[in-house]
Amino acid sequence: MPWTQRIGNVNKPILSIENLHITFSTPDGDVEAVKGLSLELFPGEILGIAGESGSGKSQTWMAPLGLLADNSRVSGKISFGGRDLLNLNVRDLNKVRGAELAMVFQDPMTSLNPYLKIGLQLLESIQIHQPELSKSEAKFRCLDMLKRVALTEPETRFNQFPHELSGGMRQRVMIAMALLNQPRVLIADEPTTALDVTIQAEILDLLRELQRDFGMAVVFITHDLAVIAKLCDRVAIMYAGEVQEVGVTSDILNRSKHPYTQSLLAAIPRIDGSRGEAA
Amino acid sequence: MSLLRPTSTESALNKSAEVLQSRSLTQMAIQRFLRNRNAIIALWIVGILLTMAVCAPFFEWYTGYGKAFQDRNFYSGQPPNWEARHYFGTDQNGRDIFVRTIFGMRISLMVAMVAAIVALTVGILYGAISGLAGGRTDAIMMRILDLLISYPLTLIAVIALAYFGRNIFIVFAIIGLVEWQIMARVIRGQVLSLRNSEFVEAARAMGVPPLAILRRHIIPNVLGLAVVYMTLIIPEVILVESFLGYLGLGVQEPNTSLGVLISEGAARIEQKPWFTYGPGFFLVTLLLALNFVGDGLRDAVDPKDR
Repeated sequence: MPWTQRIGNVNKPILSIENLHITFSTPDGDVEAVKGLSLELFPGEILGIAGESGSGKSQTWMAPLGLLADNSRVSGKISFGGRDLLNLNVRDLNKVRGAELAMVFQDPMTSLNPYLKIGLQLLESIQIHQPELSKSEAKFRCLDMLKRVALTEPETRFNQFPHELSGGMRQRVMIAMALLNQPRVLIADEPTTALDVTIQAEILDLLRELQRDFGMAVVFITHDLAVIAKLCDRVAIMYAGEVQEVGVTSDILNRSKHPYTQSLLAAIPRIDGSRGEAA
Repeated sequence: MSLLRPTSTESALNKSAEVLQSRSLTQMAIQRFLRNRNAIIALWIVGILLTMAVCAPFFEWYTGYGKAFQDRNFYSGQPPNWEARHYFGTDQNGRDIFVRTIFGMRISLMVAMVAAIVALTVGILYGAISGLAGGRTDAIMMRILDLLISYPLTLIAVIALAYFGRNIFIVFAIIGLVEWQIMARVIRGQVLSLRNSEFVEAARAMGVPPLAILRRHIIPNVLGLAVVYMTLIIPEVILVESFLGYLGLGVQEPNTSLGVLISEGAARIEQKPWFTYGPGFFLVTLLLALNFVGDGLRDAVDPKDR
């Protein structure tokens, strides 16, 4: 199906977060990581989420997948495909996550089970959501997806263990795994932070290309504004558990009047050694 | 000057061809274990002792002395005599100590295995449930464990003996029920760290159901550790059994165990020291070898090497 049909009505959000609060109870008292956040994700766009460490950018996007830690309390609403993801039980949530909503994690070195071959891990994710597929068909799709993410020698990799692959290769495997069930939304939580710069550029190009081909919406979480500038259609700047500013990337990065965004931009070191002035 | 001489390029290529041979972490652990010479020697010794224990009736036949047979010619404790085939001498009842040692080792090993299997099963289940459940359940389960650990093992064994009328296997099933605590703690710690590990999180994000996560992602990662601790529990249980035997609470005649034999010998060590030589030698060798195997395994599956 061409992506123009897949993404449907572009003006209607595919996923919307309303008034999201995430609180962690710790021995030292409650910590509110996300404070009443509202955000909308539209079909077929790449939404960048930028912010410093501890701004709640990762936690916000762990919530729809039910991955928050045990000591957390969540309130608010996350609507996705007519459901409120925060009110689903584990069984119903398992039908959504991995199938319609997938995630790529930060550290590819630890995101794969060290005891299982790559192929088995890929097969697992396809068989859970599409049990009707025959084993050979499932394997064919896995190999096909490995080719799509430009992994060299997919047949060999299929029978290898994670420790035999480099970081960049593993991240390609993680992306392939996330895309196997053709999700409508892909959440990428700093997928390039653990990789070196050249591999980083390749993975970004790959994500952009796959996003166009599959017509999915991508949430790209990062603290790297250069990556946002290169990749994202829209960007949300987060600070202290709140969205400070949302808008088209070029507007935010070039014409922002918001003091936090300006200081964030000023914090980027420049090659001539001078520093931008914060307003 | 070229940085890559042809020969080194060639060897590098050969090396990369070797790397392409896909190996699992288990296979790598086995290879590391096989390279550990001490562990291999120890494994051989354990194997030989195990075979001797399994083939104990063969030694009865070979020496001509049953484990309860009283040799009239050597009545009442004679020193080792190779011509008469009393390799370790005879005890005060004229029974051959060598044959009794082999039979004693057989009982010691059987008892240790019963306890180790009980400890392994209960320990993995308890530890995995506790680690997976987390939160309050985990805390309560761990406090129960603290309570159990604070009970002296000997006391539990004595009570069990009084209750079950000296059926040694039941007693050791109970010792296994006590020994699983360390196993449970180790497994629980591992499960706890695995539960929060990124690949388990990734599996959850993929929509893998909890039971499948346990079966496919957590148990295989815990199993190596469990096997290591089992090899370390076995010598511990043998020691406990020996200690109980020493107190006179162990196996009953005509059966015997290494501990019982040593305690019988210890009573007369000044007049008849050879009573303890054979059983002592076998006990020390067995424990040392088992510990070496356990250590070798632990080094082999040590996550730091990955």
